[in-house]
Amino acid sequence: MQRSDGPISPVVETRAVSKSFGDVRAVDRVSLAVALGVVHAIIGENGAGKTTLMRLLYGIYEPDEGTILVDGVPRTIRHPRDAIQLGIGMVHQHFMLVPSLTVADNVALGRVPRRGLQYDVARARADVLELAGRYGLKVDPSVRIQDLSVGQMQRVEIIKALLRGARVLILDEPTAVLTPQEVDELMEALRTLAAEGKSIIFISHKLREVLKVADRTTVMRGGRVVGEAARGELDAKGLARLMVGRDVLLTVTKPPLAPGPVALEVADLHVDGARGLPAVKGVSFQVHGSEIVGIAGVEGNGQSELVEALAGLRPIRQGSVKLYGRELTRLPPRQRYAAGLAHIPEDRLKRGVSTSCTIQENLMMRFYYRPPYSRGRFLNFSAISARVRTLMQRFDVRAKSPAQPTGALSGGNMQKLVIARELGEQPECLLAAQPTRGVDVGAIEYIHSQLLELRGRGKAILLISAELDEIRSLSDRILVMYEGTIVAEMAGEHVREEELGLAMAGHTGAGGPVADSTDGAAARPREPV
Amino acid sequence: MGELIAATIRTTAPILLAALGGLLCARAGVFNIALEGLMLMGAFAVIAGAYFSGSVWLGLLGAMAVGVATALVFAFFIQRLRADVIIAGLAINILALGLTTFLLKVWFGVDGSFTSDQISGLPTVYLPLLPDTFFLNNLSILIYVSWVLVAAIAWFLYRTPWGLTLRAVGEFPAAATTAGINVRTVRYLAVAASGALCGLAGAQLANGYLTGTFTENMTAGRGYLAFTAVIFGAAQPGLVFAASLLLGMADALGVRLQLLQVPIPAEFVLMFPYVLTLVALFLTSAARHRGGELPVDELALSEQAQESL
Amino acid sequence: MLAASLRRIGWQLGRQLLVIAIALVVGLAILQISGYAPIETYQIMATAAFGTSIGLANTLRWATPLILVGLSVALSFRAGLFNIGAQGQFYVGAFAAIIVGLGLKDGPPWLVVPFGFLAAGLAGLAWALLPGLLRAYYGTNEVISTLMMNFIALQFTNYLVRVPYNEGGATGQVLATATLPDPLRLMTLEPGSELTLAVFVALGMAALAAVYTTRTTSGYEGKVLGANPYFAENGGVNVRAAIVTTFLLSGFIAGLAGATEMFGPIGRFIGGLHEDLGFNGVVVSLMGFNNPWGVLLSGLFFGGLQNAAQQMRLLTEVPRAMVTVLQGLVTIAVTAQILRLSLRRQRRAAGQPGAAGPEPRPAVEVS
Repeated sequence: MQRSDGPISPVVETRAVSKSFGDVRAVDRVSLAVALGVVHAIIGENGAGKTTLMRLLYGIYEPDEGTILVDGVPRTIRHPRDAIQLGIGMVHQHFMLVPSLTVADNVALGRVPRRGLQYDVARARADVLELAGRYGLKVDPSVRIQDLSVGQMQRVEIIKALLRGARVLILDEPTAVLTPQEVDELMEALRTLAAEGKSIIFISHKLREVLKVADRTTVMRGGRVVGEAARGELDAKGLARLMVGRDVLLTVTKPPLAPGPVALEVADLHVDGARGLPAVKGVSFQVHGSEIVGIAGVEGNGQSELVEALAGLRPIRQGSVKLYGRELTRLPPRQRYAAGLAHIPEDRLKRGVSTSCTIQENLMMRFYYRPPYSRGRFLNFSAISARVRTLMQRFDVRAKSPAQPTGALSGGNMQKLVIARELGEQPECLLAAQPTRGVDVGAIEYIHSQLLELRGRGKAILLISAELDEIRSLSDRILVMYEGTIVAEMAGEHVREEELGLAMAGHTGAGGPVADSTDGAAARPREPV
Repeated sequence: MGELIAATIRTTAPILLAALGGLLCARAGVFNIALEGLMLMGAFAVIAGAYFSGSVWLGLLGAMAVGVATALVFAFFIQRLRADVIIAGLAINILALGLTTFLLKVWFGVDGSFTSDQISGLPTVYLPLLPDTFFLNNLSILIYVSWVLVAAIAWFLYRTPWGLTLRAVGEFPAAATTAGINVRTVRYLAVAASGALCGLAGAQLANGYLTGTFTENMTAGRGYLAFTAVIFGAAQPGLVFAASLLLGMADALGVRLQLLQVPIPAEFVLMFPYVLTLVALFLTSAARHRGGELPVDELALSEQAQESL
Repeated sequence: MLAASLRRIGWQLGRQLLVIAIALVVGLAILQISGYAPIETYQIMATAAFGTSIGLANTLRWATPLILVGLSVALSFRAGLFNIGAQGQFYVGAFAAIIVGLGLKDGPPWLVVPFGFLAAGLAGLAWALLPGLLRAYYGTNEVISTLMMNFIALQFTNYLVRVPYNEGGATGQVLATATLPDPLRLMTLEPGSELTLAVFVALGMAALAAVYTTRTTSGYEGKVLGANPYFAENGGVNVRAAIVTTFLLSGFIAGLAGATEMFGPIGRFIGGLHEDLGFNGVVVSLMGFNNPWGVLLSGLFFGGLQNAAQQMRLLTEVPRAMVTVLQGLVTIAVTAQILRLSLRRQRRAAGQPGAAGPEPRPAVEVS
């Protein structure tokens, strides 16, 4: 099948499409053309409008202005049903699969095969197997979604779209939850699909992947298209510049520091996760003062449960946690904080803030119960609001007043609020889980500088992040977590991404280090404890 | 004893019918606590319909139609107007009570209750080969309908495409939508179906035994019993049937205890279904609750119901 | 900042008035179709409730238990807890008051009455304890558990009234206890009406509740719990304790409502008394935005409705059930969000709550 390189006859096209939510212009007069048999990437930061644009194509939203054309014909897409009928399929960032139903059930949803009045399960299963075989997407149709791995779930989503006759496949941040090896498998599958004449639209903010697989790349920023390039026309730096609008420092300079005494000591920790299954299986490590220890790993390998257990939000089945010798294992969150352990939660909107409460109400959470901020059961508002103002100023939380509701703040500002609250009482150790997720670049730089400043003042930081660049540039040491245990420890400075990726996928290179002497430190597999 | 069994079967029927309606709604993701009000509307409609038209079949049809209409109002409020499902359900119950009592006075000129020889009772099923006065003979047709429905609904849920759709909508509406299903329509249909079933439940209550009578507030909490049967039975047809039976039995027993001269006060027997539900609730949530997870309930208050100045 | 708050309160009040208006209009239609004179009926009701001094007094009398139950519900709802058990808590509270009153009937009133109130509050508190614990420790759905407790309370108090405490025959009521002796009864404030000192209990509790919600650590914790329980937990709030505390406080206040009726106008426990009080309290709270002062105002409104209902038979031919219909209409109107959607745009412009949240609402309901 000949691949067309330019929009001779685009299979899907948007012309000057816009969408606003209230005052926010999420998509601003975007014109985009996707050709047949092409892998077309759309990149941009969080909030650039990529997902919104795709949701317009898929009928989850309707455009305020502009036209969408399919095969050159203008179409109104009001509901995913319409999009599906036009041959547009979408694989969402958060899988749209019903957990208690099987793969076959989920794939059948919306166009259930019938035999008389009954649901033809056998045919549903056969349909799945046929497509699975054709595109090399291995999956078992009789298994329930809740028993599948993340990579398998994604395959089900793709099969679901293909079964409905998708000619255009939209994938929204498909690699966010995959190991580097699974990412390669996905790329392979995408290339196969393109070769078969499908068009792939691929949303990402990961430049490296985009460069590897995209035939054409569109860059979006602030709801607009700011650039478009064919394969080979731009490199990572060029794309990044378009994404952000200026030269981006992809790394952070970190002064070398000698680590201090042992601050956080975790010994043989066992924590249970969802449905009572063990999520953390015997994890031990230490974080020293003046040190940032980064935990790398694909989401879902126990990092979230680990942090929750350390913060006191999840019970510890076995093992211990100590901060400067003080036993924290049985203490509730408030007392851990009092002992000097702060926590920036990975899900800002769920745990980090309360959007319907005011900024003051959010900030006072960590100190309202102590004198002078409260006397007995009564709150002392003059003391509280003075402190709140001080915190807002010190941590650059930008808002009109502390009485503003937190929901109106931007992601970055909200995160600064979280940091202001957590660091406000000078903790000794900080658990920072995905601290820059969903945060604009300016705030990212600020947050990184705060972390380094803490480190400079002799504090201990445990950093969990899915952004490998962030882990690599900030961490003094990197621990890799895989399936609930620490499988590798590496020096932060010079670790190579391939080694990191292998470790994240569970390959710890039994048989010695995979070192390249010119590159510095090698990955050292962890001895089982 | 035989009389007790018959009484149990009779008392269970309206609860079961309403519970089946609640089950369909639960499967669609709608917590329908308005079963009480819907049943009451159905009870009034069957009496009014049979009285004014002279035909019990028209009365029955009327009961179903009124049930569906009221249920659609409920569905409209919760879907289109985004009313809180529990509050709107309570509102329907209050409205139904008010309206039926009001109309009882306005149309029939009575307070309290209305009955008339002109109201023909629901058709009964005569089982040949059994003596006429045998306790299981001459039971209302709706009782048999309710039993058949249990099986029919189970088949519908697990063996038909529409049942699959319903289950998906209830468990993960976003997934259903992105698969092309119109969640809103499915919910409307489920709620409408519950309206029809509650209409039948009300009809059975008012007209299924002895002469058709409508009494003010005659559902007396049975709709809530049905709701609890749905919870108890985790929206599974067989379990909901068992739960309804249990609750119906307790209800029937309580009324008859004094006659049986058992030294347990009637009130304690009447209390029994509720205590049982409480225990069952405790057991299921204790089982589901994994240590350490925050006890946040799925049935969270809507943003609006919780709004405070 | 004050101006913004006032503006917001203004919008809320306006919205509630509009809601009441819509309900009243539908009520008008129902009356008209049924052949009654609608405007006249409303006039009669309004005059009966607010137009005369006796009417006003009786409105306050009916507002008393409604305000208390409304406060009880408000405390729970604002904490995100769907506690609809006020009815049961009211019953056990009322009965506890009767037990104390009858048991100590010769004691000094200045001692017995407060003790009776305390007992009532504690009984209500105890009745809320089980659902509270179940919710706090097992996440047990409190709608169902409190609903069950309501029915159990009804049957339990019915039993107590029918068997050990029955004095019904003498007073012409089948299911009733003996009446409390006069010295223990609260003084009537307006001759000819049923208004007693009990109203001050309601007003006092409203003030206390206002202080609690705005100025105490527990009040703050309750608010945050309702806004985002995960956030509360992360911040160190003892969520379980906060949940139980809220249930206990709610139960206590609802129990007090029982005492106000026993020591106040009614003086004896009648089986199945005020069977709609609990649900009416829910509506009162919702209309009052789960805020103590709002509850006070909407309690007055519903007190007026209730008063009008009592007098309907004497004043018009319209069945008393019409008031129930109105209550249902108001309830469903309150919870409908017709106005909300347009108001949301206003608030967004003013930077108020409800501004564009993190996830914009799609045209198609994806969740």
